[in-house]
Amino acid sequence: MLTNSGTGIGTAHNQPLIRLVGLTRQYRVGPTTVAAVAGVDLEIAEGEAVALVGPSGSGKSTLLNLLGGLDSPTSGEIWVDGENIAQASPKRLVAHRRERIGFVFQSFNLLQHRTAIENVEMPLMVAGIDRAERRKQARALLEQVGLGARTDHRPNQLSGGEQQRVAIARSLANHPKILLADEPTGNLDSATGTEVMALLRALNAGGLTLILVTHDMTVASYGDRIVRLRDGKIVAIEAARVAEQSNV
Amino acid sequence: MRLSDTFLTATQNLGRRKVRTVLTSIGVFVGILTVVTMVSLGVGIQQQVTDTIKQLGLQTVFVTPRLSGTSGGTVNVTGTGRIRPAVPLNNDAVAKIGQVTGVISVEVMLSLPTPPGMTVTIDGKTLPLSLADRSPQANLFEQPTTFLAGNALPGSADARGIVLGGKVLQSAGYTDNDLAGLVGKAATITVTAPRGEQQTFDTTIVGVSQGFNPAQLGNADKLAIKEWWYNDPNILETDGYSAAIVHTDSLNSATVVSRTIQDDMGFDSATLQTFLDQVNRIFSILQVMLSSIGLLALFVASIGIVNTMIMAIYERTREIGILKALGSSNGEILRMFTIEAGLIGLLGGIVGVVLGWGLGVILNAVIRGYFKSQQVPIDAPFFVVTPELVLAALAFATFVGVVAGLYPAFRAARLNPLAALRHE
Repeated sequence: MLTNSGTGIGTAHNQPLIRLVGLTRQYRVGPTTVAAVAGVDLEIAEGEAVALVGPSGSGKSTLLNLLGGLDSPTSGEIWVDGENIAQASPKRLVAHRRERIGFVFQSFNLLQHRTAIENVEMPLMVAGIDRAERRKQARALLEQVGLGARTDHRPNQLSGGEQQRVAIARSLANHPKILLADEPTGNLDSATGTEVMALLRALNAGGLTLILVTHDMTVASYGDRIVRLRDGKIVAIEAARVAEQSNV
Repeated sequence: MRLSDTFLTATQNLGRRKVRTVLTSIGVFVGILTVVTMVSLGVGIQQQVTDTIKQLGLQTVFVTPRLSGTSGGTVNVTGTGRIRPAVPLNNDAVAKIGQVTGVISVEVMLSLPTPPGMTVTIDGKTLPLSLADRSPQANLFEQPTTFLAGNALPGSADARGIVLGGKVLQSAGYTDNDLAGLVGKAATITVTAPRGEQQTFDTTIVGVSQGFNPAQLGNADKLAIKEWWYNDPNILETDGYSAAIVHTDSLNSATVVSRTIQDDMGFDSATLQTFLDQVNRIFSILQVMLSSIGLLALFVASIGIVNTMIMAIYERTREIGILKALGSSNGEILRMFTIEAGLIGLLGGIVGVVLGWGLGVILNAVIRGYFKSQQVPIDAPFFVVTPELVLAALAFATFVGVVAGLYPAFRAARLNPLAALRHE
């Protein structure tokens, strides 16, 4: 079973890891203002797996980006680990992305000119870790996602599933508490998608808080809870946990 | 992100687009090549002039009588063609100068009109004679006189004697062995005036100089000829010497003495320091003017760097988004692209300095060869690339790159991470 060493430290059990209060994100489109997220209140406990689902334009990706500190809300609060990142300075926001968050994207977003291991090293380089150490850690992470033999391949020499696993290894490099996955299986066939979801599920079982955005209900069913969004608002929260994974 | 990693990443990124990097740095290289060539031009000549002046002694003050009306005196041209200074630099004046604090000794120079005919008779042999004036500001490229026999003439007012050129004597049949024997021998100078009157003057040979040097005559001998020529026994009293060289005990004294002579005694005076300053100023102006051409090239090059960096950032927009998602700060992105641009500048700078140095070496060889063939007595390199110039050129090339990179790098740093990640 996979574990993640960066989780489960420093947060009281009775307090949620993430608390969103009246979260709103408006965009100006020409003369009109569109609310991508319109007053969302949500609590997510540490170690939970939450799937954000909804039609396109429902605000699920915006919500994920707000959580990851890639976007700033118009109003509302985003409490993560006791810090309201909606009010955080640019410096704190960088630290938030660097220390708490791991991103997994639909299109992998690997650097094409770098090998798998170099891609996994990127967050460690950004964090200022020396070369020998980050190479060691990156190798261990690639082995953890089952790509120990593909370390020196470039993304274009890897299959889609392998690329997404490199991306997951990269997202784990900075020992995040929270993994944000935006349509992680969107560019994969269903068999490969299942493998990737199994990997994410296993990481979640190891204690990592997982928040994923999807419109695929099969993928959503990997969450402990499914949060349904429409027009920037939460319309339903369902408990939906698939049976314990037997095919990991 | 560590600085070493930033440098490594910047180098890798430049290496990924080698052709573009090289093409962009060509602009810088041309600019630096021009600046290095232009700045190094004249450095060698300047060094030689400076060295010569320093050898002559910076404690020396040159004094000349004022001849122009603007300097306070009036130009007084007499009927005999003599130009009389406002205040004559005569023996009284020289004695007064000698009493100024800090003055060690005073040498004087007397110039003669050029008579149509002048000969010197030694041992019954009559040779043509041409006299040289010792000019106060000697030719800075002149080699010091070497003596085959005897010594140089002293610069004192009562100096008597003649120094003859070795070649003239040799062409008259004297061998090298005879020359030492000539020193101390009597010599008779015969001067012929335009109307044919002749007068002889007796003097003694004090030395023989090497080569084709014209003869030099002691001040007292010159005065005797001048008094006869103008038929005026008081000519020294009224017209004075043509120049005086004042030796002082220090650099500071030279400046003070020079000012005293100028302000209180009514003569023009200059120290080698002022002359040296002028020489340096002229060379500086020359170099600044020439370097401007290089700076123009560098300005154009910097626009090329801006262009290349904007293009690079456009291509790598998504990468910038990824870096930001992974926790890079705006400052780190800014630093990375600024360093990249600085490295383009540095690359151009290195090539420019190396080629500029090489070009200087070649041009020096060509110019020296030409001077030698034309017997021009300048044996200094024209182009001298000093270590300071190398460092300054490299630093400046890097600076140009960094400055050119700032605007694109700011744009990269300020990119919205979400927009950058969506960029195709």
